[in-house]
Amino acid sequence: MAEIKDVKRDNTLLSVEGLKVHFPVREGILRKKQIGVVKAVDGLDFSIRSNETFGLVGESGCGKSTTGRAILRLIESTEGSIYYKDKNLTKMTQKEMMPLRRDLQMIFQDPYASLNPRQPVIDIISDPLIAHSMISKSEKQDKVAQLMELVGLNPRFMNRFPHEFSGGQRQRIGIARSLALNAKFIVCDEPIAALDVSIQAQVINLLQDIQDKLGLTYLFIAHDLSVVRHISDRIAVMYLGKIVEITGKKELFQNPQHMYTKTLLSAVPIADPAKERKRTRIITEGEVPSPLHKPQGCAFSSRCPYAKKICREQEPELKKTSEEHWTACWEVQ
Amino acid sequence: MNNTIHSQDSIDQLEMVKGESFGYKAVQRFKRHKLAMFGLVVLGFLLILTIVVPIFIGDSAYELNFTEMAQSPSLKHISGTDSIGRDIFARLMIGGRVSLSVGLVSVIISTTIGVILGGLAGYFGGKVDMIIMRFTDTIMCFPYLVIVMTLVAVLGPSLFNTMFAIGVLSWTRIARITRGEFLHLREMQFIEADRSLGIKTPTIIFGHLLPNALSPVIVSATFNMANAILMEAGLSFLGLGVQLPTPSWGNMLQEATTLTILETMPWVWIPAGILIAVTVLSINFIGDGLRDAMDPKMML
Repeated sequence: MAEIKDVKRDNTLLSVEGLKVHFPVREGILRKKQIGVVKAVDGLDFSIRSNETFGLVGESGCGKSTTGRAILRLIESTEGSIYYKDKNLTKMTQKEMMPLRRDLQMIFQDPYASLNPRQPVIDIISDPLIAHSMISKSEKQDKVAQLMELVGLNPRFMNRFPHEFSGGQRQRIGIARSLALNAKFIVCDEPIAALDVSIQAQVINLLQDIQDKLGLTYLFIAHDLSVVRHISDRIAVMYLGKIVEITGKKELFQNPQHMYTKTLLSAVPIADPAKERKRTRIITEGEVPSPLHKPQGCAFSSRCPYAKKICREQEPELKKTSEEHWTACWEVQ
Repeated sequence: MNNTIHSQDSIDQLEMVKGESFGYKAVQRFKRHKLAMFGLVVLGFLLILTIVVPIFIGDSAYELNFTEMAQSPSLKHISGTDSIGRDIFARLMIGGRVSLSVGLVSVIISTTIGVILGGLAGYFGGKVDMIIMRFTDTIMCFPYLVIVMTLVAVLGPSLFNTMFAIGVLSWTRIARITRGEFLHLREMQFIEADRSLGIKTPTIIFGHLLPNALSPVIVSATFNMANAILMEAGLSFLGLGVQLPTPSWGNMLQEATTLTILETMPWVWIPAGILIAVTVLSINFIGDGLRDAMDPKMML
């Protein structure tokens, strides 16, 4: 919570307080009994400033995407609140959310699954505009052409279908669609994970260009640290549904405090063979615990080489350790 | 990546990549499907024949003519006459009207019910799904003859009631198929994208989910049409369908139950049988072609 109050004074666009998303696990045929809870997201506090790119990293299954979806109310959260400007999104009905959907958008991971295969590009991009009655039918073509140019697509192809485009082009269509409603905040859910490495750079650059042009704010979800390092201003590291460390990009890479962050960073390959040979990897033991049966205390305690008694008994809170740096670790506190 | 940048003014004059509207492409794809075109031509020919011919043939389909009983095909009666002297060709044409409209109307009824119920079950899931699907199962495992007999007994046997009874009982498979497709499609990312874009639920269901779920539904609907024509034949056979003297291909086949007719008068029942077979086949081919035509991924 400390983090939130601290940031409030500058221009916070979106803040998340104590967000929890739990999925009940049921069993049985006739009478479904609840046999457990998957705590996909288990108490998140962070805030995103206007016009910044906030990176969210962590290994698969740690709740990154769930967080993004919960913010857009595509998944209902169990507890906690999400404030966009002054509005509490979690308290709104889906109907009240409608006008806000213009501001809050999402770019999806898989450009093959996120576009309706039966619609030509012109309809894919203009559907949201028509749903929010922002354009008339006659303006449709012009507006779509504008958007396509913005993302570097040739508007001549607006009558084509998604399968006639390459992966990178499809992702551009997805980006154009999310920009159609003049979004202010975009959740990028691993937007480049499904693309070729050569295309990844193009899409990343496109995202940055558009951000500069339109003054967007991104929540950038990824598991690739080098990409996050390139695009983000601040980065939050997630482990098993919790944020273990939040700090600026530079600080995170130069002075990681949480053992988990250190482990992650040590796994990033270096593009220089001489340095790469000297790179030492911190190898953690064991597997990621199941989110159904989380360890008591610090979630990372079962794998952390420095785990002490307190780590296994009490959960560390996210605490400010230096300017712009918050860590949830007993060792550091 | 084509990076040609157009200035704002030139967008109006943009030359679109040539006439590739969905409808145009679909027609092209359908035309390339030879069997479907064959089916379309045959069915079209039959339709025109059954619509036009009865206008000119007058009463020969109904009037008893004891001087010309049980004649084999001749110039006067192209397809011969039946055991009470009615012209078989005239009866075939009028019967075609009846059979084809039974097929068409009952398929419209069954597909509408099936798609709506299946779509609701698939999209909303949970309790809605549970209730609708158990209802579907109940209809499915009920012996349909018993229900038809009850329905006909209550409503009285007539052409429309036959269509209604068949339509109301044959939607179950379509409902199951639609539900299955919807269950699979609603988890797709483009539906999630729709929801995050604030697109309204009816648009999502009818504009985005349905077109993607349609191909198996169309195929199933054409089979249903073929089935409906056969079911009508079966019902007429039991005296529950189209009532004599109104002919239908079904009740004309029924006359072949007498051994003498079956053995000595093949012209009475063979043409009706062939017409049913040809119609059913054509409809199936057309369904196949339609499925391909509506899939944008099929190459031209």
